[in-house]
Amino acid sequence: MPQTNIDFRNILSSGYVTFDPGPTGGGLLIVDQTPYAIYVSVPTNYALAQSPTKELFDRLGELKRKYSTASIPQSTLPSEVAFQNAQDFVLTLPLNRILKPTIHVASDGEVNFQWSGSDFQIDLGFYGNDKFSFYAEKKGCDPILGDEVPVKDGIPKNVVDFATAV
Amino acid sequence: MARYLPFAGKNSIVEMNVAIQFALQFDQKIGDSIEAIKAEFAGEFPKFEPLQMVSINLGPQQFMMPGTSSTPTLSGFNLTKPRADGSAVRVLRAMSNVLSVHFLEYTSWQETKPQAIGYITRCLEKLAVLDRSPATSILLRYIDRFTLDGAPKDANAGILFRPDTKFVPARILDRGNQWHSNSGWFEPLPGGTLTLNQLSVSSGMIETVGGVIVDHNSVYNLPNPCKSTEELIRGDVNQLSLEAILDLQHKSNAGVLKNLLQQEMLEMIGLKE
Repeated sequence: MPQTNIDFRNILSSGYVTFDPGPTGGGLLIVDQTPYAIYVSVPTNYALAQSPTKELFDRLGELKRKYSTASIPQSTLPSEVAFQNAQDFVLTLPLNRILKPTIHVASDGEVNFQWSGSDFQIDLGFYGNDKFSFYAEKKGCDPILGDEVPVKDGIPKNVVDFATAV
Repeated sequence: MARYLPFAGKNSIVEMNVAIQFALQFDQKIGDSIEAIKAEFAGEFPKFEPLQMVSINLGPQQFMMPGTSSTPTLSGFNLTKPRADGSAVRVLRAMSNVLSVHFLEYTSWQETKPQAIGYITRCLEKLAVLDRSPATSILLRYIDRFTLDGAPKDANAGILFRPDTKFVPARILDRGNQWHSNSGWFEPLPGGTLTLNQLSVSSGMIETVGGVIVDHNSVYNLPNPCKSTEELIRGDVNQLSLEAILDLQHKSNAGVLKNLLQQEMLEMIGLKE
């Protein structure tokens, strides 16, 4: 017999409380299942506190505003296309798996992404030609480098593995 | 101009669950298997929590339901693989009458499906629960999140959803940042088996970021309750294997998203054909 929506309402819930009349109609039964105590919680495990894509877009927007009109002696400002390439690149990243990079601009007009940890370093840059270059090293592994990689190709998986957060 | 972004780069999936529902709730007998489960998964899920079930009757004593108890009983577990910051990246849980695997770092179906089936198979072998509580349903649930890149006042579901989508009512497409839509329907899958689809789509401020969450749960009711791990995993002449059922459910989820989302978003998350 098919089950109903109501039957499945609480499936996969990590904790729930239901209020049902007792079998004789005289009582109010509260059923709750949680690790330790009675509470009502969201039915899944994901955290809503972070929005990695949006946070990186906000950082790029901040840098773009800051350096769109600045005049810095003996330096080249990043182009509009370099920022656009960086945004497009963010949309190729598996950000639920890889750590978030820090983003800066360099005096030669590069929009630069860096990942660093206790045993690895990744340096990656955009100059606004729809391509990027990178250098990655990790303790115990051979360095990986790439030049003139099309932005749409994204970062190679073996480089992602250097900076995995999982 | 405002637009929506996949939650995490090329991924919009914040969580994916594969679960088996059983005919009966887990009972105290599961406690006998818990140490074996803990040892089996110690390397992959270092954090272990036993789950207790408590039933409390607020009514008069004479109306106490048979089988209920106010004494906590060990009747499940929660195994977690944490990230460096302590947050969960993967969870294996037995609670109530559901054994579920939760992936919070979903990358691809090809990678995740065999892992999910592997966890479930190993878990069922240790739990040895199917002979007294057969499996009745298989669940596959995807939760996708799309964050708003723009001011909340500029939020508009019409940017994210197709104008002719059949999965949310047209009236929400121009109603700004706050709305929700819940629906459920049965759909036949091969063999005439009915699958319940539950779809919850909601929009609002999530922390300080506007966004939309698409929560799709597919519940495949097994034509015959499964009483052995072998039968559930491999199937038989009358029943598809677990993998084949999950493949159908996965395809069904992709179908929902393809009818729901604009082409630009489908391209971003790799669903555009």
